[in-house]
Amino acid sequence: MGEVSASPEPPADGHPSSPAEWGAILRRAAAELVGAPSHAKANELFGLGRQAPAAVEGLRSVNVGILRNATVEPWLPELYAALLNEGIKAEFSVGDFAVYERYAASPRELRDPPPDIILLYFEPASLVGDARHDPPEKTAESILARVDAVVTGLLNGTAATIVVSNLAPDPIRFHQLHADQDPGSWPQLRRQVNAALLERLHAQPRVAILDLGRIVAEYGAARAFDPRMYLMARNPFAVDFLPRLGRAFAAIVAAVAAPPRKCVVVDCDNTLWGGVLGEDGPERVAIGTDYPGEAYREFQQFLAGLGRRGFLLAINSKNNEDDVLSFLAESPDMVLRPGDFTAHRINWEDKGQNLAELAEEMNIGLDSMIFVDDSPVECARICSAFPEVLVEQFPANPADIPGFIGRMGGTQRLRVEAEDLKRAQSLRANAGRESLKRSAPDPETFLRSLEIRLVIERQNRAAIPRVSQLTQRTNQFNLTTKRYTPGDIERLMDDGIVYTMSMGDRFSDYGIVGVAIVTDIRTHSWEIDSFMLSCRAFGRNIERELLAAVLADAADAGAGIVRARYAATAKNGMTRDFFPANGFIRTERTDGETRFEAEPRDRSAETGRELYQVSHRGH
Amino acid sequence: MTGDASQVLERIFRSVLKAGPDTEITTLSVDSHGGWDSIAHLNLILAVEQEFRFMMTPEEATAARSFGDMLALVESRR
Repeated sequence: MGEVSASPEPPADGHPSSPAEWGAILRRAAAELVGAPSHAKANELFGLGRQAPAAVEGLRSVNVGILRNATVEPWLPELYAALLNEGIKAEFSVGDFAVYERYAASPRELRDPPPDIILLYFEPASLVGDARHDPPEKTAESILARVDAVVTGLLNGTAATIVVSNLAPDPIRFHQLHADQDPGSWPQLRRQVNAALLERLHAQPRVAILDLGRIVAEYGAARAFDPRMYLMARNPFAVDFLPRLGRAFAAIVAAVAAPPRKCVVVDCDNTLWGGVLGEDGPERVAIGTDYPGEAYREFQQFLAGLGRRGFLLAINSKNNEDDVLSFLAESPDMVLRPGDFTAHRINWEDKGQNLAELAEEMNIGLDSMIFVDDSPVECARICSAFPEVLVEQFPANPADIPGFIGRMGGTQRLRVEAEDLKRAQSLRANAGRESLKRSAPDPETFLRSLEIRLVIERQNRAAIPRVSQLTQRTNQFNLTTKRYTPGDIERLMDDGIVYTMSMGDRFSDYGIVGVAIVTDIRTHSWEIDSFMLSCRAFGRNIERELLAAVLADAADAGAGIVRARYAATAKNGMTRDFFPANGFIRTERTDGETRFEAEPRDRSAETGRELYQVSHRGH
Repeated sequence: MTGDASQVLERIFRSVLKAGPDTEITTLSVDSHGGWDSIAHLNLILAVEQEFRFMMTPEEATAARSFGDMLALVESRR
């Protein structure tokens, strides 16, 4: 313990003056807690955060509700700090003790409107009380029925994502040797409950499991609990465990609420392999099944797994391009091959410049990139040049690689959508299309030669997770850039029309690439709330087909006018002229926002029939 | 341990009780400070134990009802 170091105090003359200043102060204080956990400082930060304005620049505001049967209040400062480290500013609403059912029946009693995220915490010892010493029959069944009813009530009554913490071990441990042999003992029943919870809840897109069993095990149950504190205050966890709990919860909230990273950009020397290829030569560079080559191989396996789950991989390396590509192609011990990388910049240019070019080539924003490099100098340069890039410095010592893999940021996903897998596949097909583009005589002939198939669907509930994902991720072709959770999309389907457009061509099936959301459908004037196209589908003019479907539906429904708007962001400049280019009239322009309207058009006005094969569902 | 225990304790109290710069910490007690509720008390115990690396007995934790009590407790464990 040392002197008071930069504590998160506002400037001496009072509070931070601007939202940007608030964001920076809160984030800096939270980042300091990572290396030096302190319950006192976490409390101070939590108190400071409560004085911040509701909206703070650079931070996403999320309302978190907690239903519990334990004293969770001392956890809140650490949860708050961990969420700040994920770029999230949380406000908490904590329910009364052990009355889950009351809030399930009437969520607005917890918060009105209900929170965005609701954490259900079940302290197992309090859940079953004395019964844990001699569990009666059906103990597991009755716990499951209770959790089920609460989750169902909250799903029906809110648009929130429900985070269900499963049952951790008891803070007070007893007759364990006997329990190891007895399937009817409480510790075994607890495991059954956890397995059954996973089985029941995994298919529900608005539910996530906080696996306390795993988190406690990783930290060590003996250290994670403070039985004395549990008896004194119904708080089972030791103070030093709270940052761990916070990080685990924050990772889930971030996966639900924040746009995910899409691409890992890696260095080569001392990152993909040990040593310097240009100096040591391919024979002496470390990659393979002996240490330290094994450690680098492990990292490559991890990257390959990310690639299979839809991440793009790219290389940014100071090297001779031919040396690296032939080493990747020919080394028998390599896991990743040249074809696993979507793009590369292997040259002697500035890595920042390379990174910007890679973003452009892959059609993704810098804020969806993770930059991995062993050089602290390169990392610092990228950090300062592109603060939106997530920079992960690769360890110098290969023995530290497993730890690095475990904590590498930006790679956690709650679920792997089938669409993620298709994306990796479609990018591989890119090479074929590019060569076709060069040989095709004119754009229309090229489009025709792709044999594009479009399927436009309305209210496709199975697509809710993907639609939410697209709203979170799409930055360039996105007219209003509104971000929606799966719960929001459900609600929009109830009140309006959510269109999805899937695309296939002769090379690949892309899945859902376009989304349009229309509100006010029961009125004279329909409103296009959102309109976006995945970067995978750029350059084919298929967005016009989606717009035509909206206008035709409006005509069928007898609407008089369709309104739309363009809200400018740093990234969506390419869509500025989309509505005027498609027959909309500008009605209003304010700072950063332009409003348009058009008359509905019947289906005969659709234009692309000769270029694409379009089919419709759900109208 | 460097620094004066009283100063460190003062900083902990200030952080946890969200006391402004004008609040005199060393004379605070449960009865004199409105923000010192049961949750704040719990947070104080956790923060003090973490910072000074010792554990109070439940009796000690309950009995520490002022800054002076807590300082005496900390000093007795150093």
